[in-house]
Amino acid sequence: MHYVSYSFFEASKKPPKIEIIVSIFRMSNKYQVSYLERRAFLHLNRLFYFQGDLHRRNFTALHQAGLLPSHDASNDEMCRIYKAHLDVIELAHSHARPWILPRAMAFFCTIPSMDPVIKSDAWIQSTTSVREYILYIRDRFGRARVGFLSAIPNAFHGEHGSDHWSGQECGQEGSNLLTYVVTTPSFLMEYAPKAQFWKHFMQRVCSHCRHRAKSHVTSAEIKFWKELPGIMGIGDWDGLKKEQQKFMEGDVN
Amino acid sequence: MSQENTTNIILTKADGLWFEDANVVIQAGAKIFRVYRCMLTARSPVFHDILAIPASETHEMYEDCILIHMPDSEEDVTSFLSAIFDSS
Repeated sequence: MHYVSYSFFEASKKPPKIEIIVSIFRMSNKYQVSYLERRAFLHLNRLFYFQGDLHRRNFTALHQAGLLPSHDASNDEMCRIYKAHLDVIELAHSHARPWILPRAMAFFCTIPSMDPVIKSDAWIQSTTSVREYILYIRDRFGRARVGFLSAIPNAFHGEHGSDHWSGQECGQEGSNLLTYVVTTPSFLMEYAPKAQFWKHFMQRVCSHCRHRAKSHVTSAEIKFWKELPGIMGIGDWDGLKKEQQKFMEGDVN
Repeated sequence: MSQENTTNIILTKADGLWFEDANVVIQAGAKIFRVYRCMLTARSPVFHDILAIPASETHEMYEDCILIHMPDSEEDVTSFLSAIFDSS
């Protein structure tokens, strides 16, 4: 007999720590406590679903949830973050919740090196299928982003602004920009030194080139994020959004 | 938090998940939880089945309560039981 459904109680606006969510999900699934399982996924949705605002192209929610490492993160902290993402990818796979994957996968795809991850206990404890999936998608991601970004037209030839020193210097800095963007995976993430990059590096090209470069890079990024689910082999944003909505509305168990 | 020395390991009663008038004790690692059987069985069909077996037949006892050993980690069980028994 249910006098008041669990859905009556609103979830906290601030989700619990990711380890607790994953823990409760795992246990409620194992011991068949369905309302807790569902609630755990609702929390994961908040943390890991990319809201579909492609033009933002960032992962602000991850910052809020403390899921990205700080610059001086300890080994323990890094391991905790790796484990959280690995667990979430495992859950998304084993329970067919693909809309959670882009944000969790983007973490592994945009960190500069997988070496520290592979050496961590969290990686060793994860399943083979998750490890293989991450390495495969990271490789696809890398190839795709290089393809998208290297297709940026050379914005540094032709007309220059009145504040340029010489076409040659502008062109050289422009080439440096393209090299940096293409070879730095984390450039696509908001937590990357992107703002600092634009502020300092771009001061060294003329206003014309600055404007054109920023415009081209932004276009490439938008296109890249639009294609991201496809690169990960999970359809497109619209399809993911529909699946998520069905889950949220209770049409999916 | 009190400690009990039983069998081979020192068991620690879980803070906030040890209800003196409850009737089931759950052990995960070195931690023990005393919780209410009726709530557990109402929430979880798995626990419902486990606890459907008459106590005198197969269950171990701890302080006159049925003792259930869970293979899961202390952290997992703490989070799980907290979610069930502490909804504040």
